Amino acid sequence: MADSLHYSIARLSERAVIVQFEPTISPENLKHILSFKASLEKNPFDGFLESVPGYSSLTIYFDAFRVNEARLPGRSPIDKVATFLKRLTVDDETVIDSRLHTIPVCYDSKFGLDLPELEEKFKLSKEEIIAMHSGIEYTVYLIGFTPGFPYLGILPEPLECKRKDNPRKRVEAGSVGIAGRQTGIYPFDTPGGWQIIGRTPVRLFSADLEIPCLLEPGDRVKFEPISLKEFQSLS
Amino acid sequence: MSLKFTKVKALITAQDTGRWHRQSYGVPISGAMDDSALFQANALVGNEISNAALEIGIGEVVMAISSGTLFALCGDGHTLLMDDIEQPHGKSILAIEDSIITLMPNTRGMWSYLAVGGGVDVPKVLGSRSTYLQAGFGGWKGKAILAGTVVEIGAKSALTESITKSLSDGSNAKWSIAYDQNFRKPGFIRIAPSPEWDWLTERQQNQLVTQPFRVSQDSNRMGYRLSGNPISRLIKDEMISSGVSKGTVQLTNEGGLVVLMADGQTVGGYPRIAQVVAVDISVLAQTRPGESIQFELISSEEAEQLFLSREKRWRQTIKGIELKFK
Repeated sequence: MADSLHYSIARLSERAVIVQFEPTISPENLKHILSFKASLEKNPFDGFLESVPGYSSLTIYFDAFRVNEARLPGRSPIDKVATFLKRLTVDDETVIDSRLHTIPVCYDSKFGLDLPELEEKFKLSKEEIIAMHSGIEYTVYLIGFTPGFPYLGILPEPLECKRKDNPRKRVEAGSVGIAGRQTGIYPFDTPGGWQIIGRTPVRLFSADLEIPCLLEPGDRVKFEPISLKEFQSLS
Repeated sequence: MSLKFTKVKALITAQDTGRWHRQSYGVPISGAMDDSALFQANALVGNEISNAALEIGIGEVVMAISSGTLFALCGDGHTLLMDDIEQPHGKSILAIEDSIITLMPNTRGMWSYLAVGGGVDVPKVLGSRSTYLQAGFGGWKGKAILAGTVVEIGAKSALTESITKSLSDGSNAKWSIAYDQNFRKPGFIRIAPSPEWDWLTERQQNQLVTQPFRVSQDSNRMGYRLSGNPISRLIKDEMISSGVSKGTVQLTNEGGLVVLMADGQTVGGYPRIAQVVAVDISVLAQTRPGESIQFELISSEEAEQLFLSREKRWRQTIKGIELKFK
């Protein structure tokens, strides 16, 4: 039931509210967010447009004019939406369709631009860093920053690091990075502040597909080290 | 029918009312920076409100249009000439013969909107004709329009045909739609509190609404940077990525402000201290780098009422046009 979950509802704009859960990054929170999202999409209110996961929140967008006209209890669009959400029955046992993706990554010095610096900082060898980074399954928490950019957690503690003091003006598409207790992949050439440790030939986003993203929140990712030669043959 | 661009010194992209239902894929809504001007332009030529128009940034633009093209220029930033004769802003115009359209930059706004009856005919990508340049999709092949580009125009609706007919004797349109001022005080941009509004002390909140901010050169479709006295914050917690939208005012680590705009990210890690009210985002969008703005704080309820009353007025405007040209 909705009231067993601890969350609050805050206004973002005239046509968006934020359902805020405990402000932490955890698999439990992810489950709450995805269950809430699934339950809402199954029984949406009149005027509902879309819901967007954050690490510990779900942003809900709506057509304010339509909500205003709709027969929903509440004084104003935001009030109507908040009231509806508070009464929403959330099936916390919702089975989240979670796929495992094995993503090949080349950690060669050509692509692992920040590995030398990280070796110094972590007091680990490059091989140890690679083994640690590729040794576990990550969970996709959300997609954001750019289309298709996955926020993956939770990065093993010995690899915890800050963003670069001077972000790069250009990070190549396919770059695999780490920051904080997260790891992620840049789908496009963009500026970026994460520490870059490798590159994948896999395409994360295609605008011409109905579902344009390879990865979705709730999915799992395992990185598989490949050689430079393998990378070139896959590209 | 088509628009043939011969000179392009401005950023031109096809934009409509935005790309919805894909934000959880990290895809921003995009769409027009000045939604009021887009509405006005589409309404003047009898288009659907969601039709794509051309958003034109500051710079000279010259294009050839075919006879029979119904068009309108709204927003601010250019003077409009057809075959070297100045034409009115915010009115339906019919090209009686093949003509040359020139847009000369003025000293005022940032974005003009050229709507053509029938809409800009580009394929929908992920449900919208808006251009998202950063990832290269949508609009005209995911790109800005350049000299040499030919942009196709869609089929005219019955309403567009009626408006066209009313101007086919070469007369000027005797009606127009006013650009909606939404009851604002000139020079002020209204904001409402955001989730991290109370991360600021009362003094800092006051600072936000009493000091002027200058739009910096480092402003674009993704976001507008505002410079002024740095605003420090009370709560120094790190923010974890959470929802943001067009109009969200973020406080950077250096105490500066960034207002997210049409191509802004879907999630952000900076504190959201205020939200520009929906009906005033267009005003900020039209403010030139170097110019100053001042914020005025209003309540969330008031912001909602302004938005709803604008929606109502827009629907009434469309009904009025439909009745007039039945």
